[in-house]
Amino acid sequence: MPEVGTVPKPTWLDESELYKCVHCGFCLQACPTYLSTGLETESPRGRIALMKAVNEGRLEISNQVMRHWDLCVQCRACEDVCPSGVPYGNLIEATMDHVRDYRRIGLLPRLVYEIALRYLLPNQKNLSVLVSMMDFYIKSGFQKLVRKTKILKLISRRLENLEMMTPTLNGEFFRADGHLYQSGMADAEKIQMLTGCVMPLTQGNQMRAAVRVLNKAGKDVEVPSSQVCCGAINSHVGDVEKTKDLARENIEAFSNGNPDGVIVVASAGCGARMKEYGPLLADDPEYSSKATNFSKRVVDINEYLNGTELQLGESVVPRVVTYQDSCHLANVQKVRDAPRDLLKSIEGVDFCELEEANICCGAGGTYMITEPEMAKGILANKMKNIIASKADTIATANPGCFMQLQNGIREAGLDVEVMYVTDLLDETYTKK
Amino acid sequence: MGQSQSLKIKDLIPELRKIVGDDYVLDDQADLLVYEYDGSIDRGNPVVVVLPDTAKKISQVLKLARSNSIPVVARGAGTGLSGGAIAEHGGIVLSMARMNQILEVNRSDRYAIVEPGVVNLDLSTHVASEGLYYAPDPSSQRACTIGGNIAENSGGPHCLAYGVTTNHVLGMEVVLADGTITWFGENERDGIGYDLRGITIGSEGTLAIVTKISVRLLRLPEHVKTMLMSFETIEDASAAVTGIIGAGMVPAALEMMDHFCIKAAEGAVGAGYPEGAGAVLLVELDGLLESVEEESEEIEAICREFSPLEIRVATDSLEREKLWSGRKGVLGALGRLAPNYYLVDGTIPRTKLVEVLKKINEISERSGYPIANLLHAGDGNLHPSILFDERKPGDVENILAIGAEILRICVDSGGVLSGEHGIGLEKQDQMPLMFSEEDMATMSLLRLAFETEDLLNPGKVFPTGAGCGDISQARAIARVGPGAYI
Amino acid sequence: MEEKHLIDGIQPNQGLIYPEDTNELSSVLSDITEPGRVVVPIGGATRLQIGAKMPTYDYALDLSNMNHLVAHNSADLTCIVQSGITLHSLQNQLREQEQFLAVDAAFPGKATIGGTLASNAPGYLRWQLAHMRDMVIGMQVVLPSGTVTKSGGPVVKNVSGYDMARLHVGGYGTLGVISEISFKLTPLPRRQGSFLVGFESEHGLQNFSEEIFDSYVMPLALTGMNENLIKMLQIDAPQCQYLMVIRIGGRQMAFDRQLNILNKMVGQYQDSQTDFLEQNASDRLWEKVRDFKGYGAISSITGRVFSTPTRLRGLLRDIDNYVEEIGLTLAICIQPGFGTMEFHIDKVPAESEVRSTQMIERIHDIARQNQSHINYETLPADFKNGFNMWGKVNEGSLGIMRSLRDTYDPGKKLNRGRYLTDKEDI
Ligand SMILES: Cc1cc2nc3c(=O)[nH]c(=O)nc-3n(C[C@H](O)[C@H](O)[C@H](O)COP(=O)(O)OP(=O)(O)OC[C@H]3O[C@@H](n4cnc5c(N)ncnc54)[C@H](O)[C@@H]3O)c2cc1C
Ligand code: SF4
Ligand code: SF4
Repeated sequence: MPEVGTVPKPTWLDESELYKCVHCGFCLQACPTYLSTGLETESPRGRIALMKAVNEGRLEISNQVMRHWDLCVQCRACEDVCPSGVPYGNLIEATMDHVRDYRRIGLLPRLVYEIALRYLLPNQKNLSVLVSMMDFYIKSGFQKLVRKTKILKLISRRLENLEMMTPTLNGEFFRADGHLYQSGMADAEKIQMLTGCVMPLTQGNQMRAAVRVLNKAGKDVEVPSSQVCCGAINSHVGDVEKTKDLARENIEAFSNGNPDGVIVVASAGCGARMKEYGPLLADDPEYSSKATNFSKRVVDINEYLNGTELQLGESVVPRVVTYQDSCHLANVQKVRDAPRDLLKSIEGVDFCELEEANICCGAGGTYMITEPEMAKGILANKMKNIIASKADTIATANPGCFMQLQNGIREAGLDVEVMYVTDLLDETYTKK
Repeated sequence: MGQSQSLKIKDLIPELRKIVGDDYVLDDQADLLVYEYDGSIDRGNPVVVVLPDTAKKISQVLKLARSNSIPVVARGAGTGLSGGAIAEHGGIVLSMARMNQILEVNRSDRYAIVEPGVVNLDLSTHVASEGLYYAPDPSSQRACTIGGNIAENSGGPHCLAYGVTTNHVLGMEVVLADGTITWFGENERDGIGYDLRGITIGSEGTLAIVTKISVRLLRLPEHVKTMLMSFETIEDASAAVTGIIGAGMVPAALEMMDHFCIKAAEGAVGAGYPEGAGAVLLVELDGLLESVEEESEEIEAICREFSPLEIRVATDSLEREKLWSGRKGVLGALGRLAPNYYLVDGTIPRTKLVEVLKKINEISERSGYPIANLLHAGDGNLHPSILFDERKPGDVENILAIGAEILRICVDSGGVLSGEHGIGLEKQDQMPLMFSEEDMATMSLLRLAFETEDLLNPGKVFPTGAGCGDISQARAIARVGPGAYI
Repeated sequence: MEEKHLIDGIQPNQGLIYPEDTNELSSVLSDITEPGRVVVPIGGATRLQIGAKMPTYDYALDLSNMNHLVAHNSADLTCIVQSGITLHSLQNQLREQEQFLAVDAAFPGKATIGGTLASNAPGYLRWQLAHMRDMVIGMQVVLPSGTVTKSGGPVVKNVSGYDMARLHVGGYGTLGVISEISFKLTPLPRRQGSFLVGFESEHGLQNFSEEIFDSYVMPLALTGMNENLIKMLQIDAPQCQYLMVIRIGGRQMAFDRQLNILNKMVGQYQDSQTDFLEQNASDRLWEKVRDFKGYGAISSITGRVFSTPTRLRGLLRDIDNYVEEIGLTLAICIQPGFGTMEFHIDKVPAESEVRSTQMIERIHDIARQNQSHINYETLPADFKNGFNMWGKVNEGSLGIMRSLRDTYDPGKKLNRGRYLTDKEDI
């Protein structure tokens, strides 16, 4: 251990942020990986302690150390409860970025990974081709065969897991084609909407439902065509540079025509990322103030709708509904009441709280694919609580959560439907 | 920690794995590193961390440790503020994190049996649907465990009326140092023979490992009322506290914060305290609707004598939450005034509040270090928090010396070294301020009687050196590595 | 020689000592160096009969001269007392400042605070919260060697060092002699009184107490008694099989509300009758309850039961049936909310030892079957020979208790042969 005073200077972290952590432990019970394992090594405080130790030159970055950081779902629940205001999100993103050079992973997986993150996700066209192929895979019956024979398990557990995650496609793609969806109301306000990268492809119907509800609330919704992925997944795995590129592209895409208008986001993860474009580009002289301004315009769809004079439809929706907080909506955007208020306003909905609703479900962007075992452990807890809630419908606000919950429910064989809050609102207009 | 000890333990690892399972024995350098701290200033590395899930496994681990003379340190959530869970002498850390089940809730007899790793708040949340709660509520209740609470005999804001941990524990299953599993007390409120339960509570994990706890549950009160009163000076607020206690009132909680805390809390949560407030009092009353109303009227009348700037009252839970928000967030919020704080924990007779706070203020002025005062005023429990910046050379040494000086003032005024955080490593060398050699020797004999062979959490509570104040500082400073501070 | 110092008919061999203060107490103990000498600390001698019969003893260490209220910090609701002060004297002095110590053992005119603590006689002034030991915040103890030690302090919240006082409360003076105690005090309630309800069945009594437990009423004390006890104490109460006495207190409105709740709840019990006693009459009734052992015959058996509220129900029935079966009268005084009960078997005929042992063992068994413990407090003198009055504690605990005894009083100078740790020596 180096002598006091000879501590190596900060390497990749902002020391004033890092040392805000006074190891009080208040964050432990918010952390899904700690709750699932009981290990300090898989806790926020532990992960920060490892950062400190590396920063102080007391510890080398080893596979073991990286393992603990990798196992972080980045739900940022710890950040939300921390009394000292430790910006954990920043710390872990910077750390993930820093350790990319230390990874000794094979060339092929690395290549696949990089292609996926740098080329597929950010590009709607490329992604839609892939998703269409997946769709074919599902519809052709090949999927059934694969699932039945469990052939993938023989090859790799991780691969099998990835397969289990293949989303069920819900209707046509929802393309960001510059279209303006009109409400038909006289004094409608014009707003813009982010489509995101995965959701418009796998959950086209849900996106359309969201637009319908916005229309009913008297909003004309524009979907700018040059928009790109928000960058959340890139920053999740520590690719800060690519994230910044995407942020700049989006700032441009949404500044045409309506530079101060509202940007509604239907995916909590994307909303969280975009609300933080400001700090992300703080060092970019050209974009820093634009980014701050952009972030101010971003609003989550639930938050937004709850603030409008929404007139719900006539249909009664007889469901027992519970709500799973999306981490990036609750912990980052601090939006907790809005979705609940919306659900409670629906006639026929019997709303019940989900125990530990504020604990992550284990989705975490690509986490459910890269860390299947931990994700499953976390999900198992979630399922227990869902069963206990006796709900027949679980509402959420983020595509990752949506898929993860669907998987959990399928594997546990539960008779529970996963829906977006906006889907439930839409039902009041569409349900017969 | 000797080289030989660590080698000996390494040899035992296969056996430990056999007892608790491969996944629950940690010995990688990185893994051990995250078990070197708790919420306090100290540090120490265990040689191995073991996470058992049954008393039987703990018994096996203890037997193994005993036959090899290896120290064992129990660990709850590691939120302790006196270094209790730190393996200063290496050895085995026994984490209770996996023993976190609520085993039984008996509504008609008003008790629950829980494992030691159950988080304090989780228990109250769990029994709330039965109209019950577990009364001791340390500010750390979201994180700290019942096992840790027992070891430290923890208190909390609502302990003024309802008592601390020891008043709420009926009995417990323990594993003794030789591996014997037995109960001290059971589910009854009284028993036969020496009160082994009572002596184990507050013994900081040095007498036995607690593996099951039977706790008393209380009925949720009919009515709760919270009052926030702001005063111009801390003297006025202290006088109001003395007035309230002197009039024979025992509110459920009676908390106080000085202007530093007000400023910090205001910045962090926007609690909306009036301009120019030098101190605020937070008074909570609960119980029968009528008694709450009658008492709150009297308390208000007492406080009016000290010309409060403002009195705010809340009875619904949302409003009450708002009044509490400043108090609950204040520790973290102190981070806004300085990078670090060192929280001192002493208790004084409640009649000495004004006098002692004045002396603390003098120290602050003389030394130039701001000291934020946060008090469980109702029971005279002070938490002066010295603000500092560890990056400034000399700061750590200075604030430790100031902490010691404050404690001396507490003891001189008829008070004690610790109200609720325990002695642990942090204050072991200050014990002679309060106790004679004979007193301490008499206490230490307990370890002999429990036949711990000094292997359960060794080197805690009592002075290890010559018992001189300066050594304490020297030792504390020596232990503070880079980046370790509160 | 006073009768006061006779223990189970035995007198001290060497004499009587009356220390005036802690220093004297300390030098007395350190001066007794001859191995095998037995010293018995004595307060008011109201509970000396508890425990096994000692074969012999040498010195009676009478603490009745250490009877001062050392300090009463009324503004801080704390006080420091010498252990030989009687409860009566202490409470009288505290009352001047409208405060009291929430402890009320039997015969307060004689009982000292030290003896009350050491023999764990908390009395009835407790409902949900307070046990006597929870009122102790600091304690000075003189070890058998004469060493003076202290733990705790005169403040209400304290975790500095081990909580040694816990060992001495209920330790029957086997680990040291309590010399001074710091207490936290309670303000006297503004208004007090007792609500009486008579029931025709034990069922009614138990159900009602459960309901009170579930209501917002916070009694200062609550006890139930059977007809035998009512008769024994000559209580002027509504005609009934079982009587419940609920002592309530507080400010006027809170007091009235509690009375209201009780009245409303009791309305649902068809076979019940009620009465209300204002403070003075209420105090007198509680004095009788508190001192009930004084009303029985010398040849009686009294015991205390430690249990939980629900287990107590079965236990009460089983003991009642058994005592009736053997043709004796059982008087009971039960604190259902606490899960404790005191029982009194009056006028036990002098009989062969074997039968009496059988009877006591049988009651022990009944307790065990109901997962409860019994501690006998008085037995007719001839019952005691070779008989264990102490209830059973588990092996693990007993081992530690013995070890504590050996550690703090290796020569068994204090009370040798009396406590449950000393069983093998009897
Ligand atoms: C911000 C903050 C606020 C706090 N506020 C309060 C407060 O208001 N009141 C208060 O009293 N404390 C407070 N504390 C201190 C701390 O939370 C308590 O001391 C708590 O009881 C520690 O519990 P833990 O589970 O974290 O125990 P740990 O810190 O892990 O351990 C504490 C001690 O318990 C022993 N131990 C743990 N489990 C067992 C077991 N099963 N058997 C035997 N020994 C065991 C350990 O060996 C150690 O000596 C606060 C701490 C922080 C960081
Ligand atoms: S809550 Fe904040 S300060 Fe406390 S341990 Fe977690 S990150 Fe650190
Ligand atoms: S972000 Fe979530 S998973 Fe990661 S450390 Fe924080 S709470 Fe745990």
